[in-house]
Amino acid sequence: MNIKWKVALLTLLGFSTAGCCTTKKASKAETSEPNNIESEIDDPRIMLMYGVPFPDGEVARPIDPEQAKEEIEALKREAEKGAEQEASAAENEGVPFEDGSIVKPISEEEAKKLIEELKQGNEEAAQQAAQENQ
Amino acid sequence: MKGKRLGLRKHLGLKLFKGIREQVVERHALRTLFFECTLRCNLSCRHCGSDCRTDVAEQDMPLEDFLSVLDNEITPNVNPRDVLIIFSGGEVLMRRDLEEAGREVSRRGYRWGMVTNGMALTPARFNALIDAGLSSVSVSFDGFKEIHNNIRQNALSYDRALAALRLISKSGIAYDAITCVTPEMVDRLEEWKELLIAEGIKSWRIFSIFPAGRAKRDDTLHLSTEQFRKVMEFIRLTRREGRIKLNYACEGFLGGYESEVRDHFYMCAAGVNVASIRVNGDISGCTSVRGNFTQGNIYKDSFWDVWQNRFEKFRNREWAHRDECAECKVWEFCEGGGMHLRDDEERLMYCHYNMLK
Repeated sequence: MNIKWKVALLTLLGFSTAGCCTTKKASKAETSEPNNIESEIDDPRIMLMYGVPFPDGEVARPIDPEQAKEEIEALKREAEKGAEQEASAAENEGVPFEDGSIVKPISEEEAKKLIEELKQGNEEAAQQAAQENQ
Repeated sequence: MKGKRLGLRKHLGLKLFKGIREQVVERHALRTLFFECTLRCNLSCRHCGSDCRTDVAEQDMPLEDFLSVLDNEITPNVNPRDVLIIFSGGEVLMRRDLEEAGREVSRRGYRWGMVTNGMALTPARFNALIDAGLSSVSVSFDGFKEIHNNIRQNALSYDRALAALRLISKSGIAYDAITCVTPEMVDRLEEWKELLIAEGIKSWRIFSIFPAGRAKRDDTLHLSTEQFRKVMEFIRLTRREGRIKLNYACEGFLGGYESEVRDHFYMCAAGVNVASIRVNGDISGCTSVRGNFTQGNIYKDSFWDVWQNRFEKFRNREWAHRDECAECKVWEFCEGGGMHLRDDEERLMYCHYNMLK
């Protein structure tokens, strides 16, 4: 019994998607593809654990290598722009520690101010402790 | 609850599917090709099956090496429109030439997709990938913020994954969210489902952890049999409800839950119509299958010759009919579980069917 019959029987049993085989008919556009390997019946579509959903949309078409070269250059520029954005986002959002807390980077001025505050706080605490001891 | 028991109708269905599977094995037409393009990763997840990290010893495979295999070995023997190429990692977005790789495979007539954690998916990068022909994406999304961030060991990972899903869902390409269910998520799946639906996510995939990589050393990530059954029941009911398209991953044979928690009956397609080229050039089935099942290496062997003439262990599973599988009543439908569930001695590490006791 061929696959088509088995799929039909599975459908009759109520397992309409269980076989998940699709029959393909070559369209005019598809006949211009790079080779003529036949693919009338596809295999069952198994959703792989680390796979991705099967795209049902348009099939990618081969394009001219020169055109591709230009497109790749444009894509590289786009990707670089993305990398810059990513780096600046990381700068603004800070670096996560193992415990999940985030420390945001601060400017030099802010750092100086913080150090001054800490010094002042320490001095006040020392004075308070000295008074308490007396 | 369904459990292990198979009714008559399902038994008949499985028998028919077994026949389909045998024909698919005999034909072993290449349908999915994984390209493990990097082992570098911007996260260090607790459940990672491959121990990925940022400073891996293994260098990324040069793109031209992969393209050379594609041009000289694969394209002359397949119709590119029938083969889906999946870029996997590590984290694929760590590769700066991913757009170039995508464009090159699209140019040859292949469709391609990628699995990502979403950390580095900026709008500009995503647009560039779409322009390069990206047609399907899966984003790891393991649970509520505190749970996801804890598993991924990064405080930004939840927000980034959610932002990535929002971005992708607007694009119209195929996508899904993948949730690796951990014990603390089991009783919160209903709530989690509502969040995904509210976010407009249409397609969702669940899998459970199997003992490999870092996950092997962390018992707190593994589901008990009771929790596993709860997850199966949740998937079954969610599918009936029909508000979100949910599937359990391909992992193992699920007895009475067969055809209830996935669109298809169980079949391990690794090495049957799925191949992978690992970062070091190794040729195998899925990327999650252990190294002892490697069939060749692109730097030493002809990929097509390996695909046609090796892979015996993947296509004839009689060698696995031993130990606990030897007396199993469902062997003919299961054939020893997924190839990734076999250890270095080829023994079964985890039986999904037994989890349904």
